[in-house]
Formats: sequence, C-alpha cells, structure tokens
Amino acid sequence: MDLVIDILRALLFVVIAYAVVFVAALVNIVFERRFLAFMQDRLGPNRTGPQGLLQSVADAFKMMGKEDFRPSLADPVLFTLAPVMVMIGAVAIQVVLPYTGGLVARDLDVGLIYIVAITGFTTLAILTGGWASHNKYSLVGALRAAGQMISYEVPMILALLAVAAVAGSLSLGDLVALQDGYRWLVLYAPFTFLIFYIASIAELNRGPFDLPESESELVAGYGSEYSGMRFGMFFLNEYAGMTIMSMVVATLFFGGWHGPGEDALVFWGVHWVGLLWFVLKAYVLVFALVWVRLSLPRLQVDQLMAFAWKVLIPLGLVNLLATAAVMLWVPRWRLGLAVFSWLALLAFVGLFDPLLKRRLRRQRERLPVVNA
Amino acid sequence: MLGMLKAMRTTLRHLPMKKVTVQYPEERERLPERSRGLFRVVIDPASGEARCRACTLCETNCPVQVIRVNATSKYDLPVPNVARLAERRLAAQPKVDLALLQPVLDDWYEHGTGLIAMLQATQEIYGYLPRAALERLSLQTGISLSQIYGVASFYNQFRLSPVGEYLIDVCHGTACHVAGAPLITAALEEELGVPEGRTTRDMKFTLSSVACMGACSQAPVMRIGDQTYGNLTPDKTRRIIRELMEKVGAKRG
Repeated sequence: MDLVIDILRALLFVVIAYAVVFVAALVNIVFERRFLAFMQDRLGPNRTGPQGLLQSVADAFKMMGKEDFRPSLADPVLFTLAPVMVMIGAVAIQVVLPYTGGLVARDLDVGLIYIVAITGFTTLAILTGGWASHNKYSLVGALRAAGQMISYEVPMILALLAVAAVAGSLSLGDLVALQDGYRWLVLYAPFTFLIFYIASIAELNRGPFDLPESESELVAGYGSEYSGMRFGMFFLNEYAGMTIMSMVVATLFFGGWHGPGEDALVFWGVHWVGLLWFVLKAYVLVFALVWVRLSLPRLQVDQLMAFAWKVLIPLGLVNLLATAAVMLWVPRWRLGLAVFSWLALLAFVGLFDPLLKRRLRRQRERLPVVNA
Repeated sequence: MLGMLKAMRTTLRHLPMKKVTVQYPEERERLPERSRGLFRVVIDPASGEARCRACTLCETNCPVQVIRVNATSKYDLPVPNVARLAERRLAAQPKVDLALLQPVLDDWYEHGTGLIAMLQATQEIYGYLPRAALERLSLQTGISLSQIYGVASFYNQFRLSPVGEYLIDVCHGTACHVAGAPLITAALEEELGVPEGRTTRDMKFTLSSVACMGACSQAPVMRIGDQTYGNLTPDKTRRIIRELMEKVGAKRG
C-alpha cells in the first residue's frame, strides 16, 4: 500500500514539475516581452487574448505546426536527444524545491549538491545539441555556452557553500526553516546573494551574460540548426529556467514560502498561502531578471571570463572563508555575518567602478602608440 | 556597479511612463492643424481608374496653395502644358487686318521672295508675327505652318506675340551675368511691374533678355529700342527706366 501511495505521489510531482516548467515558460515569455516593452515605452504584444496573455500559446502552436527538420548530416540520435535532455535540469531540480510547507517531492539531505549537479545537465544538453548539429557555428556556440556555464558554476558553488556553512545543512527544508520569522538570508548575507545571483544569471545565459545566444550578433549559437519544436524546447527551457532559478533563489535567500499569513489556509497538510508567497517572491525575482537584461549591455567574451575567474571566484572564496570564520568563532553569528556581508557588498558596489576604470586606463597606457 | 545601478534606475523609471505606441486602427494620432500629409490620387480598385474627377475643389480650398490640378481626359491626346499655355496666348492675340499682308504676298508672287524676307516684312507691318498672318502666308505660299514656325522661332529677330512700343533687352551673356545682369533684370521687373518676357498692360514696354549683345566691355548691358546702355548698376537702371516711363507716360504694371 505504501508503495502505491509512493508511486502516485511521485507521479503527482512529476506532473507538477512539468506543469511548472511549461506554464512558467509560457508565462515568462509574455511577462518578459510585456515588461521589456513597458520599460522601452512601448506596449508589447497585447492583441492575442486579454492584454496579450495568450501570445505564448499562439507562439507554441506555431512552433508545433512547423516542419520537423533535421539536417541530413546531423547525428540523428543526439540531435533528437538534446532538446529532450535540456528540459531535465529544469524539471529535476524541482525535486528538492519546497513549493510550500508540506509540498515538496523529496527534501534530500544533499539538496544543495543535488541542485548543482542537476544544473550541469543543461550544459550537457547544449553541448550535445551543438555537437550533433554537424555545424561548426553550432559547435563553437555550444563550446562558448559550455565554457561560460562551467566557469560560472564555480562562483555559484562557492556561494552555495557559504549558504551551507550558515545553515549547517545541505537540505533546503532546513534552510527554509532557518529563515522562518523573516530572518531571510539575504538580510544578513547579501554579499553571498549577490555572488549567487550574478552567477545564476550567467548560468541561465541571460543578459548581460547572453553571449551564447546574443540574438543581435550571432546566428543563435548552438541553436543554429534547430527549428520548430526542437528549437522551442531550448527556448522553453531558457524561459522556464528563469522561474526555476528564481524559485531556488527565493528558497535560499528570501525565506522560501514563509510570509505573513502562511498558516491561514492549511488543508491536505499543505500551506496554501505559503505557496502564494513563494510564487510571488519568485516572480519579483523574475522581474529583476528581465530588468537586468534590459538595463545592462552584453559583455565581451574575455570580459565574461575575466569577471568569473578574476572577480567572482576570488570574492566567492573570500566570502566563503569569512562566513566560515564567523560561524566558527563569532557567538552572535547573525550580527557578525551581517556586518561582514553588508560591508563587503558596499565595498564591492563602491569600488567596482573606480577599480575597473583604473585597470582599463592602465591597459590603455600599455597599448603601443600608433601614429596613423 | 554604480553605473549599472544607474542604468537600472533609468529603465525602472520608464516602466510607469506613458507609452508612445499608437494602437493604430482604434487610435489615431491627431495631426497638426497645418499638416498636409501626402497627396495621392486614389485608384478605384474596381475600375482601375483614378477616383479623382478633377473638380479642382482641393485646388480652390488648399490653404497653402500647393495643389495644381492639370486634368486631361484620357480620350484627349496628351497636350503638354506649355503648348496649352501657348494656345491660350494665341487665342488672346488681337484680330489683325489681313489685307495689310497683301503686298507681301504680291511680292512673293512676283519675285519669289524667300521666307525670311517675307517674315521680316510681315513683322514690319504688324510689329510681330500674328498667328492669323502666318496661317494666311502658309495657305498662299504652300509652305507648311510648322516650317514657318520653325524659322520664326529660330531667329531671335522674330516675335510671335505682340510686344510693347519699347523693347528692353537685358544682356545675360557670361560677362554680363557675372557683372550682375540678374540684378538689372530684377530692378527692371520691379520698376515695370511685369516679369521678364512680358509686356506692360499699356503696351509700352516689353522686358526680355538676350544671350549676348557683343558689348562685353561695358557689361552689364541693356538695350531699350535702339539705345544701348552700359556699365549698369541697379540704381542706374532704375533712374534710366523711370525717366523713360515719365517721358512716354507709362504706368507701372
């Protein structure tokens, strides 16, 4: 009997996970297009359905109606497999995500490590797709994407380690419990949050780190040879990723499903108001993603790599060490961590521009003088 | 980092701002009062012909007077505007007494005079070459009207429309042009009240220009009747023409 319930439970969560991915992708595409438009003083798509809400549905049907095209020299198995694989990350990561109190598939003891491991799947799928396309541009694009994602995984892991050091646990359930009573991690570890957030934007291949695609410059990178619904899967994953990553960030740093009135409506052992808070927090973060993408110009490849290896990783290491030291030796660790983290954040924000400017000036001075 | 925050502040500020998009079929932009837009003749998709019936109401009503309607029926031969203007001018020519032409024709019968000589004689009689006279010449001599017209319009000495008593020729040769001939013409136009190439209403003066008089050393030059004036300035020109107008009792316009 237990086994049957377990299987049904598993099926339920699989359905939920896929539903979240598809709904999130469709919603996010409209969400992003509308908000980008608003910030550019435009209206954006507003014809399909009320306020253009059905635009993505129309787009999805268009995608599905397209020819299922495969280049003749492409690897038939891998070419088909890659778009399927690309969804795995977004779906599987939800196993450990506590949507709300009482609604989590399996609160693994190694939740954080699981997240890191699963995130790598997207890289793999992109590499597979680029390789299988039998097109050098696809391959170069895929390698670029892989290089970027692997590079930014390191600061992401460093930030996650700092989080784990604070929580003393790798379980997301424990982490959410730790942040109950509005003691959100972002309030006393904002620097960790910043590192994680920047790295996660890069992991998502979104602006200003959207080099693998950079729709205004490249031929869509690894997606060159993909069309129709296969392309749609990559696209879908990217937009679903916005929500999934925002949910992870909300869980790690913004108190997860905790919020005012979280216990108001509880049945079937699920905190339904908490779910509302969780989605709300996630969508505030999705909005931030859209906002950042619109505001900041795209980096160059060398800048991208330099930022990961020369800025984020050293800072992540320092942050990890400092966090660990605070947790070890400071009795009132929340206060100690808050002091360090806020100071670090302010220093980073304040010093980034002048240091960068000085560096650029020195680089310019080293350049040979050309008398044209 | 601060620069980035600044950029993000800018974009966020634009979020609640008024949008510039005009939802076209439902909303229309209000055009400025004096906007003229583009002129276009609407083609009727059913017949493939212009919907414009050349009623010239638009020409009449246009506040800035930039519309000219030149209508032709598609059954007419295309008549260039210039020709049409010439036609009108011809119709406005005064009636001439063709009996005066008889000596010229007699001369031709007796001596077989050349065309140019005949035209010169005709012009001597009427002061110009009236259309009616040329038609008579053509009928009597068998020389086609177009050939006569060709000769008459080729030589500068022949005039096809009535001219004033005094013919004012302003030289517009290179030397005179450089020395300011356009200014001289402008001054004359102002004093006489008629544009270049036209005759005053009292038929006293005709203002025209010639390519060169061969008096470049005195540029700019003009000739009134037989008298030539050189080294002109606009002021000097005005003085000369005013004196002359007073003398013959001519009025402006």
